[in-house]
Amino acid sequence: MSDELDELEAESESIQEAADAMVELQQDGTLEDLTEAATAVSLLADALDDEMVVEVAGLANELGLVAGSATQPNTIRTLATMMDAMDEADTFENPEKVGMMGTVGKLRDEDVQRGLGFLMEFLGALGRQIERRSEGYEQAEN
Amino acid sequence: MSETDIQADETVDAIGSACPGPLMDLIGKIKDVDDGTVVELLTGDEGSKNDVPEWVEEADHELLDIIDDGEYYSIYVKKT
Amino acid sequence: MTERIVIVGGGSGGTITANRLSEELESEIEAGKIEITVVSANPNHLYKPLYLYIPLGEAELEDTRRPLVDLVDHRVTLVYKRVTEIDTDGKSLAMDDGSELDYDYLVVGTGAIPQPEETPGLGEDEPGHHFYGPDASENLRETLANFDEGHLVLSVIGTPHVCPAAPVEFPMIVEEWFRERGVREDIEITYTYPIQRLHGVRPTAEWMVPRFEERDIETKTFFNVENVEDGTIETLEGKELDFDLMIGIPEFTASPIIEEAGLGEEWMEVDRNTLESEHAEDVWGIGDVTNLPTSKAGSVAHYASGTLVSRIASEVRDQVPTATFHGKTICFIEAGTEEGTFIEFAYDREPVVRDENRFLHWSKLGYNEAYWLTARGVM
Ligand SMILES: Cc1cc2nc3c(=O)[nH]c(=O)nc-3n(C[C@H](O)[C@H](O)[C@H](O)COP(=O)(O)OP(=O)(O)OC[C@H]3O[C@@H](n4cnc5c(N)ncnc54)[C@H](O)[C@@H]3O)c2cc1C
Repeated sequence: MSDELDELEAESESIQEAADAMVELQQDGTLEDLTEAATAVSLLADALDDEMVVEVAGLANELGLVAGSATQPNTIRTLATMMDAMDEADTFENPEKVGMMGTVGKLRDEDVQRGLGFLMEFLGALGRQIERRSEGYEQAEN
Repeated sequence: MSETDIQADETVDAIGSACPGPLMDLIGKIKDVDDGTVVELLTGDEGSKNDVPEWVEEADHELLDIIDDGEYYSIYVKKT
Repeated sequence: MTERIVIVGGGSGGTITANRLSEELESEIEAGKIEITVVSANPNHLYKPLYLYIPLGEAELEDTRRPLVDLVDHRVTLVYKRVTEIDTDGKSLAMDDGSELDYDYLVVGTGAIPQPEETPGLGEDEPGHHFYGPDASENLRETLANFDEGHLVLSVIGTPHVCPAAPVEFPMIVEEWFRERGVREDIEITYTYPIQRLHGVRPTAEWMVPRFEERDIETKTFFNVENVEDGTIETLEGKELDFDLMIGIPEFTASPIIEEAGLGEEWMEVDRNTLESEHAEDVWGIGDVTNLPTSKAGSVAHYASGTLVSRIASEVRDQVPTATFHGKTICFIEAGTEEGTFIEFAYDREPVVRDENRFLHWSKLGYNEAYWLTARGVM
């Protein structure tokens, strides 16, 4: 008996709290915004179907996997550095043509040497990553 | 300490077990042991006080004792 | 000197842990102080929840797997071998090719292995079906496609069973699927459960009652399947039930290497808050292999990995580990093919089950596609 009374009391307290919250939302205008936003949700519910959800989530998954690798701090720095270099290199201002001999000459330039150093490091890492992946794919096939 | 003379052969600690729950843990154990084995179930779940005896009766095992240790219950079941 | 963290298992728990650890310990790895290795018997990572959809023709086996190398951080060394022995005194692992691998810190995430053969009459070439493996779920697809009249029985046998939601979802999904195919009227559906209510989690059981009634799904409780013969199930309680198609939720067990290594008798015994082994130093457990008093679900492995990573990072840095795990578990429950809901709970906190709706169903469908981001440690 007293259990039921306790339950009733707790329930009426919840109702009062819910009503208070509603009044507050109404007075500060949030309720109106919410009601309007709700129609957009209802549009979404009517427009969506299972296939659309699966398509969008599948796309988000693939993009996310790329982003997961692309957002490593080092990767971001490297990408940013490359983009800065692209900007600085003035690609379209008629770059001079460099042949075999020219290349040898350019190699004396310390900046080019530094760039080459990076490329060599990069090639080594690329080789290791290709090796790692191809082993993984070969294993996964069997 | 519990005030009982019953010696359990096996103990199932299901204190804090939310899912699948203490009774399921007990049934899993009972399935594995030989007839005559006494299994002690430790549980903090109030519902177990009713659930366990009900199942024990249904499955024709023997409920030996339920001890209230304050923080948890020790329920003794003999597989028959 | 380089210290080595070895993770055994490339499933949900092992993969998420490896990815988060390599992120957390980035500078230590760069400085050559730490090296992370994942040893996995399976070179593919599996998303097992899709096995539920294969029998209905709504997923293909290839959707369930991706090469581990596509999901594990490039700083992690991958070893495609099966661990046959764990020596916690010598801190070393033995592999199936005879090689050995030493560790300084060990994480065990070898999962739970379905044991249909523990129930006489369940499994391949037996009258009882299940969907806890690639072949089993494909077999069931063929059987279901040709099933248009008779009695379908879904029996929960295993205690604990992997994923608390699958046995709840399957009858409701298949019921609607039969209706869509226009054969529902000729099919009777029965759901059985070992204890006196429909599910171990009380609020889930309460949620199920009206919904199963509404859908005309018969239920039997106190039903502990002992064996399945041609056309009849017999129980521990001495009951019998006839069927035309029987689907069992089997028993599960941990890999035998756990008991052999003294890490636990049935499951790997770990502290429920720190995930540290109760029996060995510098050893942790993650996921289904552990005896954590909560569901064996992907979400548990996911949330526990946060605690694990933080604690291992503290150990590596000679700091006092303080992160703790409190059993957070979330499972979607599909209530048929159009609506869904979810349960969320923790140690000593029972879930509230909300009414099902379309948005939660879409959330589940979306998650099935985007799960790989969880494995990758992104989400
Ligand atoms: C049909 C089905 C439906 C499910 N539905 C859901 C759901 O809806 N929601 C949910 O949250 N969970 C669900 N689950 C549960 C979820 O899949 C598991 O909880 C999760 O996979 C556990 O992750 P884990 O890392 O512990 O184990 P697993 O993912 O099983 O991984 C274990 C890994 O260890 C490897 N391994 C094992 N032994 C060795 C060894 N000796 N040496 C080397 N490697 C080894 C294996 O190859 C594997 O890579 C479902 C499971 C199934 C089967």
